[in-house]
This record gives sequence, structure tokens and C-alpha cells, in this order.
Amino acid sequence: MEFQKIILSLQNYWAEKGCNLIQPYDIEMGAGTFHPATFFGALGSAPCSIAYPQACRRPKDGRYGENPNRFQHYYQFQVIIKPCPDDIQNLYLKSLEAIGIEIRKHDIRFVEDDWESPTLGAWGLGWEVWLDGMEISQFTYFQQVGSVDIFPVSVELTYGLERLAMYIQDVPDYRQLKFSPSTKYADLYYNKEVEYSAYNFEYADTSLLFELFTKYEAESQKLIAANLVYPAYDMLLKSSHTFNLLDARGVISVTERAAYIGRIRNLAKNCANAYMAKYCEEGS
Amino acid sequence: MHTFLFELGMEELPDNVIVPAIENLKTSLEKLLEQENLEYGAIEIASSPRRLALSVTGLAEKQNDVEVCKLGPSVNIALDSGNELTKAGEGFLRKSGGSREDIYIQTTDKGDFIAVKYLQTGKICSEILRDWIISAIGAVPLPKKMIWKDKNLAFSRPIRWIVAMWDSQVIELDYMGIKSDRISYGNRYLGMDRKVTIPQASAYKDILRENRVVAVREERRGMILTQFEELFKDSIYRVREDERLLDTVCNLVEYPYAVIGEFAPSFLSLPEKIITSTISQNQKYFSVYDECDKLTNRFVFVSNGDPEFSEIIRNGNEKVVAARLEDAHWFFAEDTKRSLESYVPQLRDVVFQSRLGTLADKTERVEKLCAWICESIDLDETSRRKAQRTAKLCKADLVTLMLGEKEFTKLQGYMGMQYALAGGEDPEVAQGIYEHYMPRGSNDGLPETLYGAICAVADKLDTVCGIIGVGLMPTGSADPFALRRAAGGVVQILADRAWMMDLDLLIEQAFTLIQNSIVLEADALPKIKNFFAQRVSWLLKELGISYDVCASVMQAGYTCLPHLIARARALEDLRQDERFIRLVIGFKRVSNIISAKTDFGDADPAAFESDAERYLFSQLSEMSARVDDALEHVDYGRALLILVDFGKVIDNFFDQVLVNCEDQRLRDNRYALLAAIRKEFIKVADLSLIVVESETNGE
Repeated sequence: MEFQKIILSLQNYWAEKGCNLIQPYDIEMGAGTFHPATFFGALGSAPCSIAYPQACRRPKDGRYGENPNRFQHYYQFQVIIKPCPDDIQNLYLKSLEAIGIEIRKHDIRFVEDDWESPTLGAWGLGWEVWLDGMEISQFTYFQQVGSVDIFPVSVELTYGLERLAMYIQDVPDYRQLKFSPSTKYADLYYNKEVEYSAYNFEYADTSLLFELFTKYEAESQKLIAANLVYPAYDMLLKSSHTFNLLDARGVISVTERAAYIGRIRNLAKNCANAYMAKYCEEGS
Repeated sequence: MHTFLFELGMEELPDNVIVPAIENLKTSLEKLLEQENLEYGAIEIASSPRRLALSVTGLAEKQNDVEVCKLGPSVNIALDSGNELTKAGEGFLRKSGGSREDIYIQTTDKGDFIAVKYLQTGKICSEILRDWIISAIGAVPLPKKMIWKDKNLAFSRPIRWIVAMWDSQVIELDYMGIKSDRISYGNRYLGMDRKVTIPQASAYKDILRENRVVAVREERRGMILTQFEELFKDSIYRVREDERLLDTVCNLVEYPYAVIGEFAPSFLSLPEKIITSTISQNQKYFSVYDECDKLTNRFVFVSNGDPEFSEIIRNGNEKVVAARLEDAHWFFAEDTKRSLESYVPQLRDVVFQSRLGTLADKTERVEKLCAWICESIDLDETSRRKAQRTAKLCKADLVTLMLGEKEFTKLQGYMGMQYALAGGEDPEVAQGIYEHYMPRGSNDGLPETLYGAICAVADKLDTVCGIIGVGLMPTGSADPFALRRAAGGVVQILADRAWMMDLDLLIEQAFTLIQNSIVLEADALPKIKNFFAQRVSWLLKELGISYDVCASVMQAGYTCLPHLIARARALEDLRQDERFIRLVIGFKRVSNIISAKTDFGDADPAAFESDAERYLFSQLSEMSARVDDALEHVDYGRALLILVDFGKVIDNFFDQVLVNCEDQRLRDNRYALLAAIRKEFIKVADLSLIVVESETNGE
């Protein structure tokens, strides 16, 4: 099954289960959880079921395209459902069957994982899902988002698409993945990996980035004051990616690191509170 | 007789939650059965990632009926003039559980009282057990809880079903919206929605086994061990025994099936622990060794899947191991392109503790403290250089890729050693780098190399002094920096090496080195010394010294560990000796008599009245000289024997002299004499703290 077919199959499967298929967000982010559909969707009591693929960037994971398992740009497929269905584990397992993984022939494990995103002020309990020893998904019951205790509880499913595809296609290197019948993953992304690794590690202008971080942060705060939560959240995303770039350049020491993460978490908290007050009955 | 079954079904529990949870439920059930006077045959428990189950056999239908008799207040309090119950009488009746018809008058030799007598009918067992289930689920102790559906229902992971049965009947109950039934679930690979119907309580284990779930943990453990043997029958290979890993694995699978996997032999060029930690810590697989105890490129994993498809499952597991080893290989290759020393400057970027600076600051302090230790144990120049080198490099591996990428954090020290060796450092220095983290846990050994020992003492002292110095003294329940272990390690090593340095001086030195650049809490130093004193006394107990001997020798000074231990051992050897016991009793008399006074002059020989006094005085100065000589030769056994001998003189004195006489001048002079004796004894130990038999039995 080609890479794009995996995405299509997951989309079809979750659409049949009643999810809204929204599309990837148009701002850089480190994980699918940062998509506003997940962040805001998890808040408040209104039901929510959405699914989407999301391009993710982790500048630090760049290896100039040369490592078979690590790259700074990759895809996640994300599902978020609130309130979480009682048979969610089976719903998830059946989605694996939809992409050609026959549960009866494999050893599927739910391995304890206490998921946490200090940047978003979010945490939850759940598992890493292992397929024959390999982590293929993250399965989390959100307990807090934007430092707000949430109820009803949302369940978040995150599929690591390249890993799944490498398993399904039985190739040892991401570059050999078939993206479509005619195209290799490397054809589309290898050159980008090389260039972005150089940018992330060598060329990114750190003084510009430091300046941008502060400006995005200030802008987010200003927009919160104007009660514009979505634009304020966009600024949070930009500041978060800027921080990730600075981190990759190795210019943020361990102590400073915690302080920067705290600043972004603070923005997330403001966005969550403003959203609750503006759009959720229980928040007003 | 009847059988009860309760199964709590959940989404996968964390492996470390399962055993405490099922043990708690078992204890709770035993307590209930005892409290409710329910006789039973046996309690059986079963547990797996998805279920906690208990069954009880040999139960009666209901509790026995019991005749209840209760005596109330006297008639004139309980009944009014019209023979009606007073308020007090009503209150008694209510509490007694009886009704009006059960009341009668009981005549005793203290007068007439109202009383009740009635037959209490036994409750239905299944109802008692139903109520227990409802209360027991919420009482399971869990380190971390989550909610999923109901705000008021929190557990480790979502609860999805409850089986509650009394023989072939379902015990109906509703726990926060989850209704009991006879439906359980088998292994997932048989089908996701496949329901397993339990026809009767006693069939539970067999039915689950048919559905590929071995519910009893111990049985799974046995299966795994048997499979290990089968796998390597008639082979030179062996699975490396690892009890803790086996315990974990038993909590990860419901239907274990052990399978051999392989990785490319070329990875065997990596240091062994990189491979074993990838296999065992990350993936929970078992390492395989050959007949020469050499690590091989095989491993064994315990699958929870269908044995029929083991090939597919093995293939996947092998790929994961290969990818992880590939990563490790890349880290190792990248890391060894540079010398270990070249990583030292990067320690500036890693904070040790926010107020105590970076790892570079810590390393510098450790280097200085090492130099001080070398000086005080009078090391030769070459050894000093090696100790300094060990200290300089001991933290450098923390900023290498292997540890910096957080994949192999448990290998700290080990990687330092490997990189030091790869870079051509002295092998003893390399080993010292590894050993400076020792002892890593309560069962770990102590550093074998001198450099490891020196560096371990310096590093741990710096941590303990620093952390307590900034006000983070561990509490009874929380010791996040593992300071007890660190301080315990310091005293263990000092004792093991028989270093004569003064512990207090060492602490002061470490404290001052930090204080040179960082402001520490004003009252920290005595707190730190006290913290170490507790560790010294812990060490004595670890060495088998009884608590009273420990207190007794600590009182005479504890900062020179080898001497302290020698004194404790000498005392311990003597403590059963009849003469020694008499000495202790005599010494206690000495201590008790003068305990109220703190200020003594010198005894005046001219003021002695009896020969016993004069004799004691003359023997004292002779004894003192002999004790000093023994102490000088660090011969505590001899010193104690001298004191034992002297016991006779004390006994003789007490037999003949009344210390607390009327004449104050005489009395004070005798006090002064006893105080002088006490002072002599205290050089060795405070024998008044020794518990002798007659005291423990109560005189």
C-alpha cells in the first residue's frame, strides 16, 4: 500500500465512522496535536470528531536526509474524538485493518505512556501502540489542554505515517517508500531534507529568530487582549516553531529552554482561557 | 458450597500497577470474609494487562444466624415510672439493632438492667460480595489516575467490563454506569468484538485459556521459563536470567510465546551494554549468551500474538532491534570521532541544578575535592594525576550524542568508560569514570579502582552538600536527588577503603568549595553533618552492629569511620561476655549517679575517706594510661578488656562506699571521681547506652 493510499484509507475509514475530514493546517508545527482543531476541539463540552493528516517539522531531527529513520519533516495522521467512545480501542484497531494490518497475524501491544506536551500545557494517559515491537501510534486520553482540566475527555490517536508505511511496504529506509505507484518518497522530499537540515543547523539567523520569538509572543498577547483567540493561537504556533529552530541551532541552554517553554505554555493557557470564555457555555 | 467470581476488565494497565492492585484486592477480600465471619475454601487471584480477577470457593449461601445479646443501662435509667422507655432506653434499643419485643430485664449482682436478645439472620453472601466489589474498586491504590467518561470515576486506565458471578448466576450490580455481566473478553488476536461467556464462576480460568488468555500470572511465568528451555534444548546458547525483566514481561502478555530473533552480527562490535539495554530496557526482550558467556546476536522476545504467525511477528521485532542498533551505531561512530576530553567544555550548557550551576561548575568542584582527598590519603604523584584525570572526564559522556539524545540515558558512566578507552585513556581512569556513579542502588557494589572511589566520594559529597545547602533537604517520603543513597555511598566507600580522613572535615571542605561561588543557607552545614551521621549509623547497622552498640560508639565520635567500625566490632564481640555485662551495669550506675550534674572539679585524693576510694583513684590513672596506649595502637579489643578488668574495681567501690552521703564535700569529691572514670570510658564508647539482658526482660 502506497503512502498516499494509507492516508486515503485512514481518511475513508474515519469519515465512515463519522469524523469530519479537515485538512492540514497552514502553519509549521512540531506535532499534529498543535493543529487548532485539536487544541480548541478538546476544550469545552461540545462534541468533536475530526481527522486529518498533518505535516510536522522537528528541526532538530534533521539528518541531511541520510538517516533511514529520522527526518525533520514528516507526516502524522491525527484523530480526535470527544466524548471518547467506549469501544475506541477496537475502532483504532480496525483502522489498522483498513490499512492492511491484520490484527490476528500480529502482536499488538498497548504500552504504557504518560503523554505530555509542556509547551501546550497538555497531558493525558494512554499508550504507545506497538506493532510487533515497533511504535506506530500514540493513543491518549487528554486530561488537560492549555493548562485547563478538560471534560468530557477527548481521545487523541496519532499515527506515525512514515513508520507505518515502512512496515507495510517492508522497506528499511524512508527514501525507498512508495509515495504513489509512480513516485518514491525520496523524489518528493529528499532534497528538502538536505536543504532544511542545512538551514536548521547552519544558516538559520539566530538573532532574527530571537527577535521573531519575542515579536510573535507579544503579538499573541496583544490579540488575546483583543479577544481574537484563533489569530492569537497562530502566533503561538509561530513562536513555538521559532523556538524549535533556535533549539536546533543549539543556542538555547537547558535553563533557558525551560523558560522559553514556559513562555509558550503561558500563551497556550491564555488562548485556552479566552476560548473557553468566548465560545464555551461552561467557561462564560 | 458456592463459588464467587469477580473480574474487572480494563484497557491495558501499566505493568507496574497490576501486582499491587491485585494484591490490594486480595487483602481487602480476605479482610471482608474474616469480618463477616464467612468460611471459605480458597481465594484465587488472576491478573493480566486487561484484567484483575478473584475467585473464592467453598462459600455458604448466607452467613450463619447469630443470637445477639446486649446489656443496656440499668432499669431506673432506661425505664420511666410508667415502665415506658426513657430517651436513654430508646437510644440503647436503637443501637442494639433489636426491636421492642426483644427487650427483657436482666438481673445481675449489680442490679437490674434492660437487655435485648434476638436472632440476627445472616446476610446473603452474594450480596455482601456485591457490596464489597462496589467499595473495593475505588479503594485500589493507583499512582496515577485518569477520567474517561464520568467525572467521578477515575482509574489507572478505563474500566470496560465487570464480571460478577455466584456459581452460574450473575451478581447484578452497577458500578458508576458499568453493569456486571457474565461476558469477558479473550486475547485480541482471536477477534476484537468476540465476547467470552462465562457459564459459571468455577469455569473462569479454563474458558479464558480456550480464548488464549492465561489468567494466572505465575502460570504465565512458568510457561515462559519452560519455553526458554525448549528453545535452547541441546544448544550452546542460553537466555540471560533476569528476574525483574521476567516480572515485567509477565505483566505485558496474556498468552506468552517465546520466540528467537536475530540481529546482524556486525552490531556485536558495539559495547555490550548498548546492545543489552536496547534489547532489555527499551524492548523488554531477553539477551542470549553462548557457552563462554559471550553475548550473541540472538535475543528472545515473548510474543502475545498467535504462535501460528510467529514468523511475521519475529520479522517485525528484528527490524525494530536493527533500527535501534543502527541508531546506536551511528551515535557511537559520531561520538568517537572526538576525544572524550573535547566534550568537557560542552558541560557548560547543561545545568546541574538551577542554583548550583552547570555540570562544568560541578566538575570543577569535584576536581578540587579530589585533590584534597588525594592529599589527605597521601597519594603518590602518579596516582594523583590519574585521580584528577578521572574527575575531569567523569561527566563528559553526558553531552555526547549517545546520552544527549535521551535514548540511552541509563548508560551514563558506562559510555564515559567506553569513550575513554576508545580515546586511549588509561584503563584505570576509564574504569574510574564508570565507577564514580557506584553504588548505583542498594544492591550495587563499590568502586574497585582507587580513582573511581575518590571521584565517587567527591561527586556524591558535592551533590549532597549542594542540594541540602540550597535548602532541599530530603523529606521522609521524597528524596528526588537520591541524597540518602549518595551519602550512604560516601560512608560505605570511606569504610571500604579504610580511609582515616575525618568525615566532618571532608564535608566542610566540600561545603566551602561550593560556598566560594554560591550563597548557601546559613544553617546548612550542621544539617549536612547530621544527615551524614544518620548514614554512618545506617552503615553500622548494615554491617550487623546492633542498634545500642551503634549508639554507644557513635557517642564517642564517629567521624573516623575505620576507627568507629573497629570499636563497634570490638564491642559487639564482647557483648555476650558475663564480665562485660557486669561492667555495663556498673558503668550505668556511674552515669546515673552523676547524671544530674554537669560541672565537676578534679577529685581531691586528700579528701578520700575509705580505702576503696583511694584504690579506685590509683587504679584509674593506671587504667587511663593503659587505655591510651591501646587506643594509640587502634586496638579497641584490648582497650575494652582493660575497661572490663576495671569493672571489678568499680563494683568493689560501690560495694563499700555510699556515694550519696550526707556530707556535701565528701559527696562532691566522689562525684568528681566518678566523672573522671566516665571520661575515660567515653573515649571508647558510652556504655550506658548498651542494653543488657536484665533490662530488656524488665527487671
